[in-house]
Parts: sequence; C-alpha cells; structure tokens
Amino acid sequence: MENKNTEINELLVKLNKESLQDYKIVDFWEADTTAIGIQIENNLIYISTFNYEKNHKYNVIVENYDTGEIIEEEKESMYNELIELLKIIQ
Amino acid sequence: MTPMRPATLEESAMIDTRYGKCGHNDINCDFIRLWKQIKDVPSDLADIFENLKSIGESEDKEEMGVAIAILLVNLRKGKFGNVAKMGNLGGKFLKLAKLLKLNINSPTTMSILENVDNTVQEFISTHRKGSIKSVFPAEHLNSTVKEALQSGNTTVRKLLTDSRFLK
Repeated sequence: MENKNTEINELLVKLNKESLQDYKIVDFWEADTTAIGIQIENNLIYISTFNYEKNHKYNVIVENYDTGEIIEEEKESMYNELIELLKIIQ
Repeated sequence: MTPMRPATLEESAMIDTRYGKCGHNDINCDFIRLWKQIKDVPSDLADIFENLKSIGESEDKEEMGVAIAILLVNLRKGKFGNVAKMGNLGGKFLKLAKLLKLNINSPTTMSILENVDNTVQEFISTHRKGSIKSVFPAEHLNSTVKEALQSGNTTVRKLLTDSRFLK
C-alpha cells in the first residue's frame, strides 16, 4: 500500500502467507502511514507500528467493528503473538 | 489583479498573525495591512525560493508532484500570496507530515496539520464527531495535537487519525 510505511507493508505480505482465512484489510487510518486495520467478522484489529522500527513489534487494539467498543486494550505484541491473536479471533 | 483581501478565515488568521490585528476593523486598517503586505513582497519572494528548494529536497515523488501542482496553479492564477504561504505553510506541512508519520494526501491529515498547535480538546470539538470525547484519554485533552500524536499513546493516535470521526 502506497500510503503505508515499510513495516506495515512487510506485515501485510507476511500475513498473506499465513493460514488465516476470512480477514479483510480495513484502512480507516488512511492518514496514518504507520497503522492498519484488520477486520475478522465483527472484530476490528488496529495494528500500529508507530513506536517501533524494523523489529517486528506492534501495538494492537481490538474493538467491536460496529460499535467501536474496545474488546482488548492497547497491547504490545511480537509478530507471532499477533498471529496467535488473529487465529484466536477467527 | 487578484484581490488582496483574505479569501478565507484561515488566510485572514494567517495575515492577523503575521501583520498584527487592528482593533478598528475599518478601511484604514485594511490599507495599513495592505501596505505591510506590499512591503513584505521581497521576503515573500524569498519564501517562494525557499519553498522551491524544499520541494526539490523531498524524496517522495508523489509529495513532490502535489507540491509542484499547487505551486503551478497558484503561479498561473497570479496568487503570489498563496505561493508565499506555501513557503511558510506548504513546506511546513510536508515536513510536519513526515515528522508525524502522516500521509500528506489524506484529508484527515490536512485537518490535523492545520490544527497541530491547537489543544486536542479544541481540535476534537471543532473537527471531530462528539462521540470521540467519551472515549478519548482525558490526560491528553490539554496537550497540543502534535504532542498527542507524538506521545506514543496508541489509543490517542488511533482516535485522532480515524477517518470515521471526521465531521
């Protein structure tokens, strides 16, 4: 994605290779080059790389897609932890 | 000839900041400010050259394209005041967007950059939907928008850049 930084683009490439199904990239944060959203059913996972560079760490927030209600507060995750979270949500 | 009176509130505010606000608000005040602007033409030209230099220094081809397009439109229309403003604000916006890691081509980004020195409270009252207030971390409401975006608080950044909250 042209409006995203290298970390987000690398993440999206890696996610594409994982055995994740039925997820959708949602870019409500088109203003932010360091963040992206992933929709899995009624969950919206906000992923930010703002605080990290080139170390595959992310700040993750999970919210209800429709209401915006926070399901999981801001948390620092390594790539593997993020994938685990996405699999659990699926 | 293009009109010298400010076309927008933002332009008026910029002129107030640069030349001082006169309390009388009559035609004499307009002439005084106009005279100050005329005297400022040499420094405006210097700003234009500075702006051209900052465009040339950009590594992002898309940013460079947008900046050149705006510059050419203003030059063609003879709006040298706007060109000079680009020197002050356009170049500043490009640098700020890069510093804050924002996408310069996004309307959400522009609303942020135009209000970067306002407090978060002022900014969200004017430019974001009311529903953001109930979920925004209270300890950041008195920070400037710039400070909040750089704070490293993910929730704050998420809310300020979320296009769903745009008014």
